[in-house]
Amino acid sequence: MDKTAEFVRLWTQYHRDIERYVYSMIPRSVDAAEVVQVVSVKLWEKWEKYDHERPFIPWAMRFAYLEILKWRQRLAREKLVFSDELLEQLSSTHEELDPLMEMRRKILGQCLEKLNKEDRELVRLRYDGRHGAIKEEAERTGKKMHKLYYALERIRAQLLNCIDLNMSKGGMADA
Amino acid sequence: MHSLKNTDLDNLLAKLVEDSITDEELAVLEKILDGDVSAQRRYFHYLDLHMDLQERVTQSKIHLRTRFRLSKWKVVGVAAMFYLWSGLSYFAISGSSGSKSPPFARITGMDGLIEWSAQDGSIINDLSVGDPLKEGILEGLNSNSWVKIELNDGSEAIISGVSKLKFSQDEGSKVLRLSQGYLSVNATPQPEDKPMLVFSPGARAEVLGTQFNVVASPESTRYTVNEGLVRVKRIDDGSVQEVSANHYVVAKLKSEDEFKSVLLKDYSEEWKSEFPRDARRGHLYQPKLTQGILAPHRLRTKPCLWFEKGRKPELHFSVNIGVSATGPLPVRIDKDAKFKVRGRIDTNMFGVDNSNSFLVGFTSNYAHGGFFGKYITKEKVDLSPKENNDQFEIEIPVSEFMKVKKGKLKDSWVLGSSAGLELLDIWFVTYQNIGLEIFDVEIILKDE
Repeated sequence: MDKTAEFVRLWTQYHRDIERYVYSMIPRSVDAAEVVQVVSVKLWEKWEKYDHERPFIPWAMRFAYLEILKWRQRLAREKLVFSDELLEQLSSTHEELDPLMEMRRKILGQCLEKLNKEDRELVRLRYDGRHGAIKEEAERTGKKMHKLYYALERIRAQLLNCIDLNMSKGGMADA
Repeated sequence: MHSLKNTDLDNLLAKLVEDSITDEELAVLEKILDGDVSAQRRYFHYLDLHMDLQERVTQSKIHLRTRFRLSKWKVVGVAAMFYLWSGLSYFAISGSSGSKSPPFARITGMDGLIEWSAQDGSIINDLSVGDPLKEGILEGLNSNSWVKIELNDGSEAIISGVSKLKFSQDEGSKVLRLSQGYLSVNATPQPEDKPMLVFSPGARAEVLGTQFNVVASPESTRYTVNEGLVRVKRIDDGSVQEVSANHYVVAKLKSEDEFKSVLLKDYSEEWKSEFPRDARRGHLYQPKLTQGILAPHRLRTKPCLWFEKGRKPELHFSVNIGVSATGPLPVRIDKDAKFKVRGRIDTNMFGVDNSNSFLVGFTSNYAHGGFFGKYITKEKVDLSPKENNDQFEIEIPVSEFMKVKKGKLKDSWVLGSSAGLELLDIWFVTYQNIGLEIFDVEIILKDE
């Protein structure tokens, strides 16, 4: 396959994994998107040196990690960033968890099915990308906004517990 | 991990993903995570869950029955029958994932890199004119990208530049969600009880049949209506404006600005950029002058992958500046107009061929109408860098810009006047990282 076409194919296939990784290290979506953009450019620049016999993701993650560190250095004076030491720890924990993440995402589908209708509707409202949907829902139902956010927190915990339980049943617990 | 600690951690993580965490709380989170692998695992699982939910909902993997309003259920059998019918229609259209539902839209024109994410999560980026699309997300990935689709009711929608549009159907209403970029819509008459719905940052609009343009940034949306009427609601405070022909309204997030439909009284043929207002893409910064005084903002190119039909993808560097998209008056192109550009090239960054040329392009709309097309030209800057601190000033007559003409295998540039069109935005692209910075752009009518 043409090398350029292969880059486009691999980037299209895996860029969401890189996004997830960067977001978990830089939990501010605007900054994370910026770093992902830079990572895509770095990968493209280094594409000639990529060993096509080796997997793409670990190679790309290495560049992503370096870019995260650079971003961290640039914003070192701001409080809203983790220390280098913690980033290093997180990176190593992520490496250990990575093989199980895909399985967890698959199980999430089953766990969502188990939510009651009201909870699923709340999840949909929160995550459909429309700013203000929770506020509108609060106005519509007469509920307090903070109660809806507490409900979301509870739903996330419920989903995580459901995933953990299913992983344990399948002998795939990560702890 | 102890469940009480888990609760504390979840509480902080919830605030983190909702962007409401304080500096102090972040310090506490850091302390909890430091050296505790179990807490770090929870952290990753929580953030991954958050992103996965975002992806699933965006791609409509969480299927839910649409909500019925309780009050209407009380309105005896006729209303119940109506809802039963509309519910059945909804399922007939959206269907189960395996059913053969008719296409929601069809591509009728396009250029640049366009990506389509289908509901099943598949991503396609080799789209062509004529391709049918079901519900999903269309993304324009570069300044030169645009795509025109015809919906199954004959309405047309165009996105241009770096834009993201999700389209779907809900209870019989067409739903367009523009999270960023530019959207132009020519809507055919919609049923009164099922208006087309347009969601964008800070605003929600109901459309019954009209021509209007939408420019969305992360913090605000501007609706310009050329024909008909659009009802725009500002999400933050719920206030509503009826925007009629030749009017526009801007809905900002977290703003106390007046939310009011404004008459497009006039247009201008001269214009000067203002940063940060007009910066749509690029790295905006203010260099420091002496004694801590800051110079005016400059916009520096940011890297992007550039796709053009018939060519391999290339790494380019670009900025995008809003004209009518961000300014208070529409700017119309006069045949004798010139673009006066002031900027800087970082000669320390010149590549192997000492390139000092760049592409300049603009997006045009019909006056009082929707998307028309893109124009482009190539400029070479004759620098005497050391004499002028790498700065340049050039004038480009508008007549030098060529229209991008679509070809089956490859596109070409052809002569074509842009006089009388509305200028939406301007972009600059370099092939190498020559550190191009734009100080300002002016549209002038006479030599100065």
